[in-house]
Amino acid sequence: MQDFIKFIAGVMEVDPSELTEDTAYGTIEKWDSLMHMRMVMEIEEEYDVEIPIEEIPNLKTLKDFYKYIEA
Amino acid sequence: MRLALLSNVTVDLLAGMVKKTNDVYLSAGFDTWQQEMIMPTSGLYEYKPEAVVVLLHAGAYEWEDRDTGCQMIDEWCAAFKSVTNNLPGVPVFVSSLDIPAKVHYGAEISNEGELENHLIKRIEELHADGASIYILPVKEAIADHGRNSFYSSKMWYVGSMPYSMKGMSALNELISRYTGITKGMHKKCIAVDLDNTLWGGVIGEDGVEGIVLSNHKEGARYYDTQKLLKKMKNQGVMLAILSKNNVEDVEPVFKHPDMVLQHEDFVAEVINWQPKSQNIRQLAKDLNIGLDSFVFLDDNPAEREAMKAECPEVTVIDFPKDSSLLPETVEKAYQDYFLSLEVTGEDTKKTAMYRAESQRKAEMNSATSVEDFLKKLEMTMDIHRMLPEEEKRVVQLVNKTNQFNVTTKRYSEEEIKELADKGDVITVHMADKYGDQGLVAVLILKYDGDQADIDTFLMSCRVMGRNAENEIVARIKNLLQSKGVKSVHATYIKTAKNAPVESLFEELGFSISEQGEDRKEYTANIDELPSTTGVFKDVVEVWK
Repeated sequence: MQDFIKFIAGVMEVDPSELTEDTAYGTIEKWDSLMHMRMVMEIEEEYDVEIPIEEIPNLKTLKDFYKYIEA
Repeated sequence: MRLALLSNVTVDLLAGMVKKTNDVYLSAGFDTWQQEMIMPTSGLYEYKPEAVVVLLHAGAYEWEDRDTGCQMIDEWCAAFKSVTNNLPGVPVFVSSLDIPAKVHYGAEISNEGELENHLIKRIEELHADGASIYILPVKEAIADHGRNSFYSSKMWYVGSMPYSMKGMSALNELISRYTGITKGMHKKCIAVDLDNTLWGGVIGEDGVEGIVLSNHKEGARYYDTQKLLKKMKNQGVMLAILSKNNVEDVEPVFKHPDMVLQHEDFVAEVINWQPKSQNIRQLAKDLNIGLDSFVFLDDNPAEREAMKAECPEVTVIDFPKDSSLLPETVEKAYQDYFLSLEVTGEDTKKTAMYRAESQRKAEMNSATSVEDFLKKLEMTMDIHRMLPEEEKRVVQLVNKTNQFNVTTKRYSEEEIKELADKGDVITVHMADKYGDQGLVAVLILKYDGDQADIDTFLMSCRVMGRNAENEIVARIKNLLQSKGVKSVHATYIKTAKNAPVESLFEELGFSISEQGEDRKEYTANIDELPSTTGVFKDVVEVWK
């Protein structure tokens, strides 16, 4: 989880300490709709997964994303 | 450099990539590239770009038939004319269109190629007229990468962003390369070895009959390489020979039937047994160009290493181990180092000459006015008090609109219903000749005696840049007058995203009554509000 948070912090260009597994879409300024799209793309590239469009509304927190890529 | 990136789709993420090496201007709103070019006071012109890149995604439009398609492209040219007239000498790069055949169904004769070429033809015409406008070969990049890799349906449906990460990287690279050309970052001379570079084998040992050079089969890889070099020379690139050989051994090769390059193609033939680094320094002096203007092509790794060590300013091409890749290696080197926007090197003179011509023609031509452009859209508007079936969409807009939102107040469905009961929640629908945009704007009004307060005014970015806000307020005026309202109060609360509406109320005729750091309060008498715009084809206003 920590490595994942570090990765996301890199994408968002924030300090990893600003993020927790419960950080969610819209709760911090950086995570707006554009960043959400970018995260999906970067996660797909980095973790070699495919996130179908149906899943996207279900992925709200960093924990959700992490659980998805773990599966 | 200062680069303006305009598009008919969302390119914010791409802009983020380009920002790593440039300063980037991204317009507000969605698909407002034509307005940005046509309106002389637009953000584009305020920004004073050094280059303009226009990325047009064909998939955002309906391509019905050749005639309407060509007509739409011709209408785009009005915008291109505007921008080249208003920014003479500033290079404008327009992406080539990619219109997938699957847009057409059945046994129709497919005409995507015709439409794609129509745009190219129009750009060439503008260019021939003296405009600094060029095609950005996006279609080529898509062909190289393949559509499946370049596009992302998911991103298109989620965020009107048609490109995948790979697509965006490719676009970023293309933009970098082409805008880089305008800064004169390209090379001037390619210095080539002879043996195993322009032909297979060693001329001093194999003789003219023994070398591998033919216009078909294996020998053709060298023939093709020579043809490429010849094309480069015709584009203005200098060719020089840098070979360790005896002049008398080399001379007969020029009579070889498949020897494409001849004496007159070379600016210099440096054939001796001195170190090549020494020769190239002398050559630089003779040609009066810097060492950093050279590109070096040599099959021998030892020669390449020596050149890199002794003349690091020279760009050394990575000669392929598999020489069947030689022609494409040289082609890539051309793209990377020599690509020029104009065939002749007389750019600045030409620019100045055409600038004068251009101004003269601008007086004569009708590029187009903002009014013409908006009228051509054949927009319609429907404005009324929120209906029950609109509530959900209104709540959605209230909670997600950021750019065109003066107060960014977020309300729940209950709160919206209450606001509608106590005051008025106005909804606006719009459509144009290309389609229906649906419910695009919401205005929330509160009343206190004969004063109305605009609590919320928001609009979808899809209809920004169309004077819709002016029309909306003009229509609201009618409602307010019927209610006996004498003055209107409004507020602007600054957020990170709503800079596009910072001066909205000033433009609509309001005066500032109070001003704080992040906030402006406005007031206007009812008759100070704007009149209808006259650019809408039809407006349906219902206040019962």
